[in-house]
Amino acid sequence: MKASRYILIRIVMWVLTIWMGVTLIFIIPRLMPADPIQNMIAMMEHQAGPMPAAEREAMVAQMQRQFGLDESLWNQYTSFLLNGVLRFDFGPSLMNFPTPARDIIFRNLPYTFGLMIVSLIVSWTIGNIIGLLAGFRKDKLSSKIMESIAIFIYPIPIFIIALVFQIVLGFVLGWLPISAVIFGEVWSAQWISTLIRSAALPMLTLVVLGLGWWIISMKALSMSTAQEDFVMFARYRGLSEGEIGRKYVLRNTVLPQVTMLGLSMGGVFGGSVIVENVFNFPGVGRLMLIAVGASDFNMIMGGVTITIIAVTTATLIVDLLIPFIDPRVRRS
Amino acid sequence: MKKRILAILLALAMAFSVFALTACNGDEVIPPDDQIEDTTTPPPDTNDDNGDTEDPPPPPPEIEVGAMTEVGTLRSETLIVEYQFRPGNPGRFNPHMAGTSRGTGVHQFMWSHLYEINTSRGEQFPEIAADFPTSNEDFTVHTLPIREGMYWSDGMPITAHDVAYTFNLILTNEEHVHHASYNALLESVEATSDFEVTLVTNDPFPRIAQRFGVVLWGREMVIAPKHIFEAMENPVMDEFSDPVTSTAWVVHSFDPDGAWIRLDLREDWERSTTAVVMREVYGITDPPAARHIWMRSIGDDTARQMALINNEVDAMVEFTPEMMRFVTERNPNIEGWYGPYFPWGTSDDPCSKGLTFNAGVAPFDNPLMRWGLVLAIDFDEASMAVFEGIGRSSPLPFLTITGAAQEIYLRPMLPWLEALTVDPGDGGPPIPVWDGGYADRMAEIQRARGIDIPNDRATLDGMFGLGTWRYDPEGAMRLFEAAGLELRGDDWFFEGEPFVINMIAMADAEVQAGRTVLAAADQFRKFGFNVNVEEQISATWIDNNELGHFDITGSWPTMFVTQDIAADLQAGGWWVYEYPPIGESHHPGNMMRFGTPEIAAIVLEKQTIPPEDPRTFELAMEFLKLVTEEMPWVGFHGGIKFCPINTTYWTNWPSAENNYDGPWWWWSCFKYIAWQLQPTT
Repeated sequence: MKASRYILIRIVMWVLTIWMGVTLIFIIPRLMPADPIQNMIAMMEHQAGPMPAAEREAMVAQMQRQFGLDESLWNQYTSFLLNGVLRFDFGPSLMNFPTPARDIIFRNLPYTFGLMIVSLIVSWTIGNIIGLLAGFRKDKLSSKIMESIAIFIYPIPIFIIALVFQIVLGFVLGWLPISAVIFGEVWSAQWISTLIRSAALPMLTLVVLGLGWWIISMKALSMSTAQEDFVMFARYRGLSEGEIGRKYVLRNTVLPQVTMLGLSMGGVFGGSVIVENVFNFPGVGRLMLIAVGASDFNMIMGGVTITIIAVTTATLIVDLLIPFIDPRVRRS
Repeated sequence: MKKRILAILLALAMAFSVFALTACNGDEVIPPDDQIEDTTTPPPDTNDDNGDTEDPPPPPPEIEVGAMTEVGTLRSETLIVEYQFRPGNPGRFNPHMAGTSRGTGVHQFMWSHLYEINTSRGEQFPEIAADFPTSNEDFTVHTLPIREGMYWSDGMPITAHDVAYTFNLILTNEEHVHHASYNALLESVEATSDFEVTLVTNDPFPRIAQRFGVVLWGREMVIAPKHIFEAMENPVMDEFSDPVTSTAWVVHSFDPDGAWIRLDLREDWERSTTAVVMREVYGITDPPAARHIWMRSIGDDTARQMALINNEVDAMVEFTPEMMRFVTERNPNIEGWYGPYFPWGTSDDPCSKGLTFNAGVAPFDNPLMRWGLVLAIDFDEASMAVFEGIGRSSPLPFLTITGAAQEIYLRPMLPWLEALTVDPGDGGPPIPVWDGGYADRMAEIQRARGIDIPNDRATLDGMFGLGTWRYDPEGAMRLFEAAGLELRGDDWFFEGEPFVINMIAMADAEVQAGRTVLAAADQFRKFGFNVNVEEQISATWIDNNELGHFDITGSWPTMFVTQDIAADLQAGGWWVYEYPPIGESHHPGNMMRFGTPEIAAIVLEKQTIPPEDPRTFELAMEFLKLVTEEMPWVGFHGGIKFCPINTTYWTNWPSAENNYDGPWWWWSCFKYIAWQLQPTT
C-alpha cells in the first residue's frame, strides 16, 4: 500500500511537472517581443532585397495561415497539449518550413542524449571512485591532490573548459577536430570513427565539468560515513580497508549519488547546449539556440517539451528505483 | 602541506588557462594603439626597409602533398568555404520549397538564375537569359531570349520551357511563398519558342531583369528542371534531395546533420550554365581547377579563427577587424580585401550602416532635431569606435556608397553638398554641414598609429570616402533649441519632461550596425544627452523596427549595388508618406516612418522609366537632395565586410588590386569567382 502510494505520488508529480513546464514553454515564446513571420520575411529581404508592400502583405497573410498562427491563443494551446505533448507533433518548424519540428528535433536528439548519457556515466563513475578514495583515505597525498584538482575544476565555467580543450587539443596539438565533421554512411566504420573523433572534445568537456561535483560530494559523504560507528566496528572486527571501503562506505554513500544522478540530467543538458555550440556538434542544444534567435515557436516548444519529458522521466525512473536499491527507503 | 599543494596546483592550472586563452583572444579585444604599431605588418611596397616590425611574420605553412580532406577529396583540388548559415534542412535542394537554405553552397554551386551580377561593376549579366529583355512601349509585354547549348546535369537541355514552367509553378501553386507576390505583378508567362519567353505584367514594369534576376545575394527565381519537377506530386513540397543541377557542379554527399555539403565537378561541365557564361561573358574556356567544393559550418568565432589559421578552410563569410588582425599575424597566407594589411575589409557591401531616426516620434519628427544629432557626432571618433576607422564614409540618407555609387552619384553632388546649409531659424547664420576632410584626417590618424596608408587621392577616396557631415557642437546646440529642446543645468528637457534618447541595436548579427549604434550613443552622451541603448536579438529588433518602438535604431534601409536605384526606392517604401501610429506595423523598408509627397512623386515616376533612360539618373539626384535636406537616416560607413581568404591552396581571389568581383562567397555569383581561382600546387 505504502509502495503504491509512493509510486502514485511520484507519477502525479511527474505529470504536474511536465504540464507546468510545457505550459510555460508555450507562453514564454509568445511573450517575446518578436514575430516569427516578420522575422522570416525580414531575413528574406535582408538577403534578396526588400519586396514591394503589396507582395509583402500577401506573403504575411499566406504564412500566418500556413503556420496556424492566425488561430486564437486558446486553440493554439489546446492543439499544442493534444498534438505536441501527447503525439510529439509540434507542427512545422517555422525556420525550416514545412519540415516538422519533431523530425529535426529527433534527428538531433540522439547526439545530445549520447553526449549527456556517456559523459554523465563516465564522470559519475570516475568522480565517485576518486571521491570515495579521497574521503575514505583522506590523509594520503594522492587523495589530497585529487581533492585539490576537484576543487579547482568545480567552479570553472564550462565554456572556459571547452575553450581550453579546443585550443590545446584541437588547435595547438591538432589531435582532435576543432569543429565537428561526421562523414560517411551511418554506422559505417568511417562514420563511427569520425563521430567518436568529433564527440571526443565535447564529451571530455562534459566529463571534466561533472567530475568536480561528484568528487567533492562523494568525498564529503564518504568522509562522514567513514567516521560512523559501524565503520569503526568493522575495523575492530579486523576487516581490511578495501573491504570496509567496498562493503560499508561505498554502499552507504552511493545512494544519495544515485538520486543526484537523476537530478543532474537537467544541468548536463544545459552544459550540452554550450559544448554543442562551441564544438559545432549536432544536438538539440545547438538547435534551440538557433530557434530562439529565429523565434521559431514550434521548434522551441518541441525541443524544450521533449527535454522536459526526458529529464523528468529520468528523474522519475531514479525515484522509482531508489526503494529497490535502498532497503531503508523501502521499509520506511 | 595540504594548503601548499593546493596553492601549487591552483597556480599551475591558472597559468595554463591564461596561456591557453591568450593564445586565441583575437575576437573581441582591441589592443592599445602602441601594441598595434608593433604588430601591424605594413604593405611590402612602401615599408620594406623601415624595420619597425619587431616580430617577423611566421613563414608560410608548408603544403602537405597528397593531403586528403575529411570528406575524402584531395586537399589541393578542394575549395573549402564556410557556410553562410548551417542549414536546418540538410539534403533539401528544392529552390521552390519554403525554408530551403541557400547560402550553403546551394545557390552558389547548384542553381542558376536569369541574370547574375558582377558587384565590382554594379552590373547584371545574363545567365540563363541570353540577353536583357525587350519590352513593348508601355512596358507590359516583355520578351526574354534564353541561351542555347546549356544542359542539366542529367543531360536534358535547358530551354525556355524550363523558364516558363518555373514562373507558372509560382503563379499557380498557392503553397509557394512567392505565389501572391508574383500574381500581384505578373499576368502570364509563356514559352513562345524553345529559346524565348514572353512575360506579361499587370502594370507597366520596366525592370524585369532587376526583379527576376540577381541584384544582391541571390533571387527566388531559380530556374527549375521542368522534366523533373512536373513529375513530382507537389513540386513545392518535394525536397529534391537527389538534385539535377544546371551549374558545373553536382552534389556528391552531404551531412544529414547539416555540417557540410560536398560538390564535385560534373563530367560534362562544359555544357553547364556556368561554363557557357564563363565562355561567353568572361571569355574563359578552361575548366575550374576546383574539382571539389566543400561547403561547411565551422562553429563559433574562436573555432573559425583556429580553422583558418590551420588552413582547414579557404574562405570565410564575415570577420571583425580584431579577428582579421589576429589571424593575419599568425598565418601569412591569410588575407582580406587589401591583402594581409589594414584595413582588410571592403566597403562595397550593398548595405551601408547608420542611424534611423523615428520620424513618427517627437522631437525626431523635426528635421532640425535630426540634423542637430548629426552635427553632434564627431565622426572621426565614432568611426574609430566602430571598426578602428576602417570603411568608406557613406553619409547620405539613402545612398550606399559603393565604389561605383561614389563616382556615379556622390562625386557629382559634391558642389551641392559643399553649399548645403541648415537654417535653425533663430536669426543666426545658416549652418554649413559638409566636411570634405574626413579621408585625410583618418589617414593621419591611422599613420599616427603606425599603419602605412598610401597618399594618393584615389586610394584615400576609395578607402575612406569623399567626406561626411561636420562635427559642430555649437551648430547642434542651436538646432536642438530650435527643435524645442531646453538645457537646464546639465540636463536636457523636451516639452517640460526630461529628455531621453532610446536607441536599439541588433545584438546577434551585423556587428557593424550594432557598433554604429553604440558609437553614436557615446557621442550623444558626450554631448550631454541621457541615452538608453538596448541590444536585442535579431527577431526582437526586427519587430521593434517595424512597429516603431525606438527613437533611433541602427539599420540599413538601402540594399543595392546596381547603378540604378529605382527598385530599392520602390521596395523601400519611399513612395509612402502617411503612416500608422507607433505600435502598428509599417512598411519595413521605411523604418523611419518618413516621406513627403514630393519624394513619393519622384519614386513613382522613376518606376515608369527604364533604367537606361537618362531621366532616371536625374530623378535619383533629385531624390537624394530632397532626402538629404530632411535627414531621416544618417549613414556612417558603407557596408564593411571582412571576408578572409587563405591563399595556401588557392590564389586569384578578388581583392582591391584584383577587383574583378566582390568578395561575396555566400552570394549566388560566387560560382564565377570560384571558377577563376588558381591552385597553388
